[in-house]
Amino acid sequence: MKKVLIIGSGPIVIGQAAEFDYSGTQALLALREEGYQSIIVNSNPATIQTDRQVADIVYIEQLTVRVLEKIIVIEKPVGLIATVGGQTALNLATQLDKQGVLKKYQVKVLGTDIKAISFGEDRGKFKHLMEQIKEPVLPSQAVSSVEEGLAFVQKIGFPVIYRCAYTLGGLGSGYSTNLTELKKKLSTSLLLSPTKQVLLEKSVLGWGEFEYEVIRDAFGNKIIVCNMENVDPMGVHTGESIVVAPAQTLSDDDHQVFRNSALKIVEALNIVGSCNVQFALNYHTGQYFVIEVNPRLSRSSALASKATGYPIARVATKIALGKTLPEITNNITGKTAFFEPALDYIVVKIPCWPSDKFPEMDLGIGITMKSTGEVMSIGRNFGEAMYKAVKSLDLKESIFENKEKIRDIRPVLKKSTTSRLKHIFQAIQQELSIKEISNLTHINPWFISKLNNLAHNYDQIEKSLNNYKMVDTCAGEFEAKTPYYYSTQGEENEAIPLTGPKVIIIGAGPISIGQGIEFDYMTVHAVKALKEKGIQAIIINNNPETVSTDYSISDRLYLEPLTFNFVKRVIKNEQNNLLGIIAQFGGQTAINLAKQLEENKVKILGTSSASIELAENRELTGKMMKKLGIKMPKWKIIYSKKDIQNKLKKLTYPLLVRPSFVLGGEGMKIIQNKKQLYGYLEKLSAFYFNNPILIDEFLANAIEVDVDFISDGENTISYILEQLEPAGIHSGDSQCVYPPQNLSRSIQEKLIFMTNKISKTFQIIGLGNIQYAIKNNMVYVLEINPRASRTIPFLSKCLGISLPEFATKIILGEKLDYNIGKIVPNYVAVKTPVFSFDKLPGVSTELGPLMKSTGETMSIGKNFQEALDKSTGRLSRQNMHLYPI
Amino acid sequence: MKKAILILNNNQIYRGKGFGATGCFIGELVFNTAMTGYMEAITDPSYAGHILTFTYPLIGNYGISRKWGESKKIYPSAIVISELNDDYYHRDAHDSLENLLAAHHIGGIAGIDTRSVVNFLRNHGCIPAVLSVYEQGGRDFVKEVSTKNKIIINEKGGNTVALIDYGAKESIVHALIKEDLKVVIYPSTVKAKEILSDNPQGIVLSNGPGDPVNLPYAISTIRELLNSAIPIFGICLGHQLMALADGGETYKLKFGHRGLNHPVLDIKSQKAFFTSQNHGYSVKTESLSNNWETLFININDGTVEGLIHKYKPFFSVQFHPEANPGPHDTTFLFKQFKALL
Repeated sequence: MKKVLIIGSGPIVIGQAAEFDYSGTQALLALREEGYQSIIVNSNPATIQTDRQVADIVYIEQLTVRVLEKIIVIEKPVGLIATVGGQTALNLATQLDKQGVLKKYQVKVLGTDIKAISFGEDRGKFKHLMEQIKEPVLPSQAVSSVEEGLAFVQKIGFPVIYRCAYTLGGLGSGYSTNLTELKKKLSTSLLLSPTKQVLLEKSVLGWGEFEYEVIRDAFGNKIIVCNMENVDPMGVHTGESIVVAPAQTLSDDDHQVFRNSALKIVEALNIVGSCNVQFALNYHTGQYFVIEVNPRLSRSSALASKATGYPIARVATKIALGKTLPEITNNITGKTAFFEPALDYIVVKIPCWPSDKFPEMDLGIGITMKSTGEVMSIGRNFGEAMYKAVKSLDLKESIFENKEKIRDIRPVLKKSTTSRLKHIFQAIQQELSIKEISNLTHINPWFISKLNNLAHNYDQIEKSLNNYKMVDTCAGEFEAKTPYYYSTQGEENEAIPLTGPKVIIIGAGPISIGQGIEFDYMTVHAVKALKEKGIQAIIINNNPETVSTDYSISDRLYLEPLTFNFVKRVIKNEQNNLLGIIAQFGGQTAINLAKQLEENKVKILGTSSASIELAENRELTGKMMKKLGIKMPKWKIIYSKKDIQNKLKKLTYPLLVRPSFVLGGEGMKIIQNKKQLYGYLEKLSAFYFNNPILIDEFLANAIEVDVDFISDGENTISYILEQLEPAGIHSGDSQCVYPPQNLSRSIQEKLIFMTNKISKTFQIIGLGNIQYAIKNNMVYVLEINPRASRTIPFLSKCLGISLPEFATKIILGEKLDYNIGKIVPNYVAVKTPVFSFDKLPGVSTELGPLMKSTGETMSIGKNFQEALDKSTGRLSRQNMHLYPI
Repeated sequence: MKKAILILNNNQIYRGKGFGATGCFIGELVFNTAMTGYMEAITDPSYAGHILTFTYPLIGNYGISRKWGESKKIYPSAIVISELNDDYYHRDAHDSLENLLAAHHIGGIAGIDTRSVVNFLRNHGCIPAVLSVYEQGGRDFVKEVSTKNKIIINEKGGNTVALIDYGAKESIVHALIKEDLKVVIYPSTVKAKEILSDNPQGIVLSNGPGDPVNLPYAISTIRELLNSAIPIFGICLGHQLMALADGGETYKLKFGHRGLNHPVLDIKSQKAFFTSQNHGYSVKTESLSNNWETLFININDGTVEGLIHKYKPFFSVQFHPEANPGPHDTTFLFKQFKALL
């Protein structure tokens, strides 16, 4: 069988997240369908694409040219697909091509070729090509004198952006709207520039931004899968913008101009696969510019796939293998993939930023991405879709009605920030006109008008969502059987309840720091286990990037907000033969929901919410530990700021402050003295005081250990992960190794013994995690998590089994399979956190109890040293050994 | 506010909001899956004779512009959509879709589950349908049926009576002429001042359609006329309006009185008559001031059939003394009215 190599996108970083697991997984499955043997290389273990069920040969290795070359030598693939692994894969393929590796080993780049890729990367080449095909690009010119600059601006008109080359931090760069200002600025800039050159470019700040997702085959057949309109204007990165699909404010002739342009561009680029084209439109004059192209699968293409139901990555992969659009089948309708989807609903996407976690973060949004994830919703009108998207954000306060009043909202509205939506609602509340809000924000008045309606009727929307409709790519024109639904108002319920036994799995929602792709990985595995047992799996989730929201994964997907009411409605619709719901793979979001659901007589499978409560309530936990004779650091609970005085006297500093029911160490901090404590608690928002706040004595210089375990309530198997960073650094930010390297046998036995005791006492059924600290040969329990932890995918890859699948079977009532405890890994694996600090100005790079990493890589070695060396990517080709899993 | 009912030829019914023109529209129900281009579609002559359903749920977002028109007319007989957008924003747009449809006398229905319409059509095929767009409560039928100008009839008659035309039957005019009266017919919107300045000896308030409470202008005119001492005779709607003008109340009968055999009783004389009736509303007796007495009641259901003022020359009947069709048993009331003049 011929082999094809796919390059993954590596660890999750801001700007490159779960969407590439989704596109890579689809691509791998398409390869298999077409009779190829698939090879995947990715350093991220928490991906479905690195599962043996998806890819035939899996390399979990660092993504470097050296590694890839070695794999090419070993596996001898005939082709390479570089367009489903984000910018990382594209860059690597370009490198492999440049260094002659591809030519040497006769590996063909399948789909869009390197030359076309280079047009997307090289501005100059791109501009030249656009000029050739007479598509408008932003006029720009490097000038060396004020006169030259003014003459150029005379030609292109104001406003303009001027950029000073080779200066740091944007020195000598800016935005100008008039001649006198530009004259002054330009002369300063020219002085500052080491090359005495300044780049002038026409500015389209504030214009409308549109995206077109195009697919082309090698025979020149082309389709537009979807167009999307950014609610935020030009100047805000599309990943930072609220996006709607399809475009709402374009007339048909506007749309056809963009469509023709996009088709012309992909033809000129000779795209074979998927491509994204971005346009800027002046709403007032109709003038437009082509802003950029992405000749690969992207975040936008994932969104477009989820928004339309059209599997872009699957079709693009088949095209890369030589198939034509008309001969590929659309699995949903059974008709051809040469089809432009017709939507009969509106999709809204809102980004999620880590600003809750990092209050010090600069909240401005602009041309670089800061958001870690996004939510998507579907409705039959804008109000419905927007309301559901806002609900999906699961905000701590309502943004439709604001208690706080801003004295002068106008200057606030002018700035693009992570709170922009909230500010617009505030402005509506303060009765600014639609026109004024639109002028201040540069957001098309159509959207403001719709938000204005929403501000006045948001409280009625939820009550009206009485039925479910299907996402079918064809607006009902053909009979479709997509198991993909959304709630809306209407007379007909298309989600006729599934017959036969079924289970609902609650997803983890948008990716945030502390709640990453790992949870989606586990959700997908739980589905597989259910299917094996002949039980139908229903997923509720709202994250468009992920594999779990690929409707072909589960028996049924409800794209809904993960709030009590929305989840309850789905449960009601599917109540017959519903065995229960699984919450333990959905991270803290799902755990928080479980409690409320169980109170409403919904059966939670696995660990009960009483057990969850027991584990999350420090007082109960403390009593239990005392009874079991297990040590914990000294601790106190405070319920209000007033408690500090009388309760904390007996504790010795340093202390660790930790709010309960939060994820990833949100609000956690190590405190050295009383003054600092007061200061910190004063700053902590009132929200955290809704639940008790724990204050622990902090064990400085202890060794931290994470024990993940699987248990049926009677018996337990434990897996010890040794943290390589000292205690005090969040386990998600710490390098760790499995199996443990520096723990004595007796300590390990102690840990296993304690874990057995705790899991049995707490009746944890399924997966759980306990954090321990070891100091002076004493073992202390730091935290008991009655749910799957983020290291489960890493461990599963180390062991070569799917822990979530075994856990799901236990949750359904099976007994623990002892054989999985006997597995001895052949290798040592190191997990290394990856950070995105460069994308988050203002956030301190210092590590502590607050988790800051966005992703992780896994390195496998024969021994600890080799794994560690591989994690740094320093090994030479000769010394590097690869171990396909 | 307009309402609309879409009735498919298999008895499937959708109720929603109406827009565009009121009226009844017939065509073959079809659907179009385009997400843009509603203006081009509705001006496409190929849609003549069709009721066009848009599967895209938001229509009207970018308004309408002549430059998008494929012809100068709107061709579908009616439009079916999920949500109509009046707040349009587009540099080329000069009006809203709603206004365009109204101007071209095309009706539309919105706020219905268009996806279920499409599902139906996909499974059963396109079928004929009727769309009815109507103004609920809002439409003033009285104004529509009333004379537009003042008309004088039987100029040579003796005394002059003013007849306010809320939808007067010819027989009322004939009955008055028969009594040798000069009849001046006024539109329903006439002001009291105008009537009083013409100095009639008596005033007749005619019958007419609909709910009397929707005629505030008629009520205020009658209220002023009641301040004078000119004899007033109210018939049917005129009877109800007189009660309302005095501060009384009316209510809707479950299915009204419509027929030629409605028995009424003269309270004073205890004499019974057969009357011709056609009304859907009735006066609440208990809502009237002490100035009034019941003149007739309906023997079948006890509802009030006539009123008489205790001190002034005003009286009214719910039935039709002018008959036609129906028994002539109560034509004597015109004689009694003449006697008051």
